[in-house]
Amino acid sequence: MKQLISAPALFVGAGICLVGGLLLAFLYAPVDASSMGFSQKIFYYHAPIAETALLAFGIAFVAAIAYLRTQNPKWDRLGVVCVRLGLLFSLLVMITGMIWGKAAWDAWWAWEPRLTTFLLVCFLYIAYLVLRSVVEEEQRRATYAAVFAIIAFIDVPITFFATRFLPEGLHPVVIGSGGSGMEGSMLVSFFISMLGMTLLLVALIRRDLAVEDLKDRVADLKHSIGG
Amino acid sequence: MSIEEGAKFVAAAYAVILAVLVLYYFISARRVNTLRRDVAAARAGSPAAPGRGRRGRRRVSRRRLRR
Repeated sequence: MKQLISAPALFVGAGICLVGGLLLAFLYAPVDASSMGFSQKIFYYHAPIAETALLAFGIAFVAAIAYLRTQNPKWDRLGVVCVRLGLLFSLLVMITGMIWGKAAWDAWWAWEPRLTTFLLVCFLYIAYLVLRSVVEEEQRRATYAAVFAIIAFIDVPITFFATRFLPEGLHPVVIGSGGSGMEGSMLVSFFISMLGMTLLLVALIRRDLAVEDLKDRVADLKHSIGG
Repeated sequence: MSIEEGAKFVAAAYAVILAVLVLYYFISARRVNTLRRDVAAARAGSPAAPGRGRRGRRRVSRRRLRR
């Protein structure tokens, strides 16, 4: 299962989808007719990156539950890798969102439901990494981190559904019960970019898990030489 | 908003995405290389080798050994 699709193949697949999505966004999808105009093109990467960040936190949540049930350190490793990558994607969402906000609302930041809850998600997962860095004993660190990851995840669905529960915010609902409000060509570009970002996340998770594995091997070898 | 104005924001956003992802890739690749060297050095059996980097075991000059 682990070797089903190699990491380089995933990176290549992600690259093809991301470049394809970008080309479609600029050459195939029309310029948005609303006041956002050409700046709406940021959406084709911004929204998929946001969904991918939330997906990474979702995987960390599942890994935390799996760790608490099995006490297998591989779930702890998956959890920390996903949180790190989730924060990387969150950083990209924040920066691209601020640029888009400046273009669309003439403001770098607005305390509206989606942005505020997303910022809270970032702070919670930064706290997760801080928590890991202060607990030295390995098993206790993994248990505390797993419990914290489960608690932190509560804010993720709140962020996702913020635009639906509180529609007075500035963020539009991308795909809701009444459809997306986007043209077919826009949707195609969006979903290809979305697929590309998801493949990129999977490829990065695999790569970072390999790094964690190498770290453990180095620690074991150091221990065996020292002992 | 004109297309020229919008294009500046779009270019800035995509440049940031590209820069952050490329930077992350290189940092990650560097970490992998360092760890691989550490594994190789540790396997070679030198107690002080892991973490020392590219050169592994430190060479001691003959003059220093004579002292």
